[in-house]
Amino acid sequence: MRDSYKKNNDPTPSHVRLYPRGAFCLFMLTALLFSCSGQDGNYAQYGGSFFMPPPDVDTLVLYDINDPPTLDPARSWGTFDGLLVSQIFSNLVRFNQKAEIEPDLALRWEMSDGARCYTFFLNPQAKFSNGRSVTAEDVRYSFERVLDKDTASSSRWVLERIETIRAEDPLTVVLTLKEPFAPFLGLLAMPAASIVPREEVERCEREGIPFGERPVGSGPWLFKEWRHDQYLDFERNEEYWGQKPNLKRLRMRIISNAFTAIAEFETGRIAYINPLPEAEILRWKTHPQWKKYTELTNQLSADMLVFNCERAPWDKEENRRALCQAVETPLVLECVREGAGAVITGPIPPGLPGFDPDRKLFKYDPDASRELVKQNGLDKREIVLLLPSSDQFVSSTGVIMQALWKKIGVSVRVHQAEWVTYRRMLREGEFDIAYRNWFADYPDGDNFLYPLFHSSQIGSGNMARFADPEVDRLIEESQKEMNPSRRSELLTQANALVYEKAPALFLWSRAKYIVTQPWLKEYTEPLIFNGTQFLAERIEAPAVDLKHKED
Amino acid sequence: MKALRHPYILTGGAIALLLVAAAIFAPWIVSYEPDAIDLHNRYDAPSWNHWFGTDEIGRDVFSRVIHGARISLLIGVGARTMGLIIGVLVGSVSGYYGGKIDALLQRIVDITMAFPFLLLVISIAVIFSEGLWPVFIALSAVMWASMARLMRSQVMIAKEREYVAAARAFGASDARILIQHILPNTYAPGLIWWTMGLAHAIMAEAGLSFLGMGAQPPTPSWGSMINYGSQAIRVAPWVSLFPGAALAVTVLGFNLLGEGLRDVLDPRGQSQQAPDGQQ
Amino acid sequence: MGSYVIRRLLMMIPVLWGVITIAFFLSRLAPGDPADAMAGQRASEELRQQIREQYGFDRPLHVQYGLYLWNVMRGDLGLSYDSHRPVTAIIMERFPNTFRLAFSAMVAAVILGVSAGLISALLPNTWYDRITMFFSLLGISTPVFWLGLLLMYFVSVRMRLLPPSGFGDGGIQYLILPAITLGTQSVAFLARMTRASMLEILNEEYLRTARAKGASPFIVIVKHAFANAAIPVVTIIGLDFASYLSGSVLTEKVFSWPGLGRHIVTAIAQRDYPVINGTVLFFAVIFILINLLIDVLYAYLDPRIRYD
Repeated sequence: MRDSYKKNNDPTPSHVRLYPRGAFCLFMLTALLFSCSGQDGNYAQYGGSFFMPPPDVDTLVLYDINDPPTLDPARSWGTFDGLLVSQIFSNLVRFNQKAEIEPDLALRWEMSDGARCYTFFLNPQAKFSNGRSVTAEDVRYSFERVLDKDTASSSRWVLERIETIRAEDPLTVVLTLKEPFAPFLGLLAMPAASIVPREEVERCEREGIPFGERPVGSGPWLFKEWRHDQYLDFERNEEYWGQKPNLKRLRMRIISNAFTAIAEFETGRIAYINPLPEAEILRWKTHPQWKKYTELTNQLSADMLVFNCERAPWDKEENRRALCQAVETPLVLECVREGAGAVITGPIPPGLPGFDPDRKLFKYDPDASRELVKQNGLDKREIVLLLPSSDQFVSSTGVIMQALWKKIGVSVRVHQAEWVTYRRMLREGEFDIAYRNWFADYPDGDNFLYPLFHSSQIGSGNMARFADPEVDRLIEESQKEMNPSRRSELLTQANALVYEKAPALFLWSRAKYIVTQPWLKEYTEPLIFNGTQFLAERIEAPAVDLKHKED
Repeated sequence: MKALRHPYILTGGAIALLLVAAAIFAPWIVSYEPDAIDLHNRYDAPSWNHWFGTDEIGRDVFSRVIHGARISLLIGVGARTMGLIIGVLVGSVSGYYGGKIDALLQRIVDITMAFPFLLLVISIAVIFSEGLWPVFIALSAVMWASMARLMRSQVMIAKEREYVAAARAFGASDARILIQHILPNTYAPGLIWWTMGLAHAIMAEAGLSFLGMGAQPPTPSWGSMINYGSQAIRVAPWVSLFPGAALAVTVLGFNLLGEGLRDVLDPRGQSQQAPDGQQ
Repeated sequence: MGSYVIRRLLMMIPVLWGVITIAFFLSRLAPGDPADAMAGQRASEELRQQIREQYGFDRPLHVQYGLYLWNVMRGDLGLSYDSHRPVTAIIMERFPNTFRLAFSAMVAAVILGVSAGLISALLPNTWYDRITMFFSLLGISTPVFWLGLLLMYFVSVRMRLLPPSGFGDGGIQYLILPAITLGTQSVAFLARMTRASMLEILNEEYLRTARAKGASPFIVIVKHAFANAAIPVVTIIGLDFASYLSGSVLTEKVFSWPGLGRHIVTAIAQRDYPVINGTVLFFAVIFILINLLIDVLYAYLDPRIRYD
């Protein structure tokens, strides 16, 4: 058939002479162009300004790398979808930019019964965007929806400490906990605890559309449109019962490549670069004009290399410590993240109760480590360092660790696995040491201790499979302790004990650089992922020649 | 030899030879270990000490590029040869026997070709965990199909020739006829196929690395170097430009070689084949 | 002709069955538990088990396979695990974008490749010819994602000519860079094919006759030579187009283009089986149909080819 047709080809012998050097020259030229492109003056031709003007002064355009899976509070567990959920919905309480608890739907609340019972008094002004008032019944419905087994919510744990939910009257709701839990209000500010209107959820069910595709809530922003893999559009809720945002529209673009995002920023089409990739930090931080707009924000997070404490030889504390002492974490931090972050002594990051700024790092002592390695036979077999294939600095960290541990005689094989595989291997303990990073769900030291190192969390968040009765006891006590200073004391003790026992090599708490456009005013990067509702932001068109503005 | 005077073969062959030499003699060419880190010399610009500069953790880019030639060649040659073997086997059986076996094998070829190339490769790379083996398996599993197709048509033409009929009349076995009389006549298209696709296989490995699959750190694969390096393209362009250039020159070299071989060995264009799939 | 087309369409069935089967078992073989992708890091084993039951991962594989096959036959590709939306909707909302990109890439490639090849053929063995052929090979040799980044940097960031990425309002300015990036892969093949076919045909008898009869060179080229040189060029166009439709993953990722390719990489990463299988099936159908179309086009372009 197709073979039956005789195909033609070049009948004339070609005598083309080629110079392979040509290719090289071309690339050298490109390289030259890149390196010579001075950082000043790039923008001089555009009205003498180093930045591009905003395309629209009423719209805040931000971005993230991946399309969120859902906007349904019950199904959301990521940081980006969590941030978006918190724009559309309200909670009983919410986080501000500094991750402090503020009233949201609840005007005020009372605690009783030894901190087991919380009574919330709702704001009578609060309305869903469909016009109906938010009532105590909605709170009950929303929470029960998350707790309902059929919803299969991955955030069920957020509300599982609640025993009963009672709507006293339309504006009063009483939550009773199984046991006192000091950071409980933090849980209520999480996206999973958002209040949803029952009639809208049920309408979506009837129409066969996931609620996460057409969310309706009582937040400051209305969900407008979702073009998957392109953008999500939000509009100011003109009927919002609280302080309304300054800007009219919010657009969240999906830009799947960090370099592309920078190009978009440089052409003025997005309002920030968040976060600045490690490789770019120096360029912006030292730029004569941009450095003013490049800011460092701490993240409530901890990066660590967890040991598989159930697998020999990592069941012995001294073996784990031997590896920890062979690493100079400040130097590694400086190298892989350009110093963006702070070294930690235990899982709790700076800024949270339990972090002890006076505590010293393990003494850097590779000689002692080498001794121990030889003595305990840690050099006998190759150990597996499991990494997620996500950021470049993670794999750089892995390679550096490999080199550092090689110096003390331990041979390491880096196994970089794609995300889901990484998660499964982590969960099933198929590693010796694994990279792990943890971002706060709620701003409390407990969030870094209980899920990661309490023995009851083995098989869930405790991937190190670390079990220590003393650590367990301190964590449990801190959960029930309502006095802030005594609680802080308990957390500090637990944190220090975890550091000493070394179920993980604690690396650092991340900080990130963010560059904002000069025309974006009043933007504050929240300390916790859903700690902003973009209320204060303004865009002020700069006085530059706008005739160069494109599309 | 006339072939050696052909400019495409000359340049393509020179590039290929250079590459093979670089791969074999890599440890003697470079003065740094490819994964020796130097945290005090990160993102150093190209200099006399580091010809291609250093990367984000102070590794010598030149050394990594040279060692990367090993990975690229290993993957390219390996996958291509594996594809060739499977393709020749399937194609010759299919073309020689015809009938039901042919129909069945051709459907399998159809299925393989209809399966989206990069997707199959990604899926296999994910299944067989990380590293270079899955890349090799995946590329072989995809690339044999076009060879089988090509081989089949070649065998179908060859088996109608008189000497094959004569051999059969003398009672030669099928295997003997295939190996002694038919296959030698098909080496030219096979060789061209092999060379042209080599470039493609090397490129596919790079593409996988860009998606975060393939070589494990600290293995110096060009693809992963370009991928990670491209993040620093504004700050330290050399980190990604040199492996990129190496990749481009390599692919160019094998393409030239393939084109040249085609000019010389196959002026009627019997072996003109569509690519296995693209990115 | 009609019976040929019908026969080819019937032959699709076993091939598609094979594709579905491979896709199904490949995705199930992949390590990693979709429950991990669907539940957060703090999910309990109980919740993961519940998810497995809800989506039927706990059933024997052959039962899952049978069920899937049955659903596909009824035209139901299932719901995405990730977004709970119908797979058909996900494909249909992204495919037009992929198609747009593939189509424009092809147009760009044809314009560049065919014209370069034509001129090369008309001026064989001149400097022009050599340079064109060299650059066309260079195009093939440049990694797609790399070329994309370079173009974005120079054209968008430095020259401010076009938006760097995205789909925007669907305007053509968003299409140009990705289309060029993707199309470059075909330019070389097209240029070489065009040049070779043209050279062969230009030397043939009837063209010399036409020229001798006083037809203008332009008409000779367009009317006679090019029409005859078109067949191998059409093959390349068709096959490349088919592979662009299913394989523009890298270009889509670099330019944040909302196409199917980029989505399926996410789906693989999330172990979103219904989306993976559905998209693979969809791509296979497209591939087969385009191949069929090429063969039918042959018969029109060259009356010597008959299918019976």
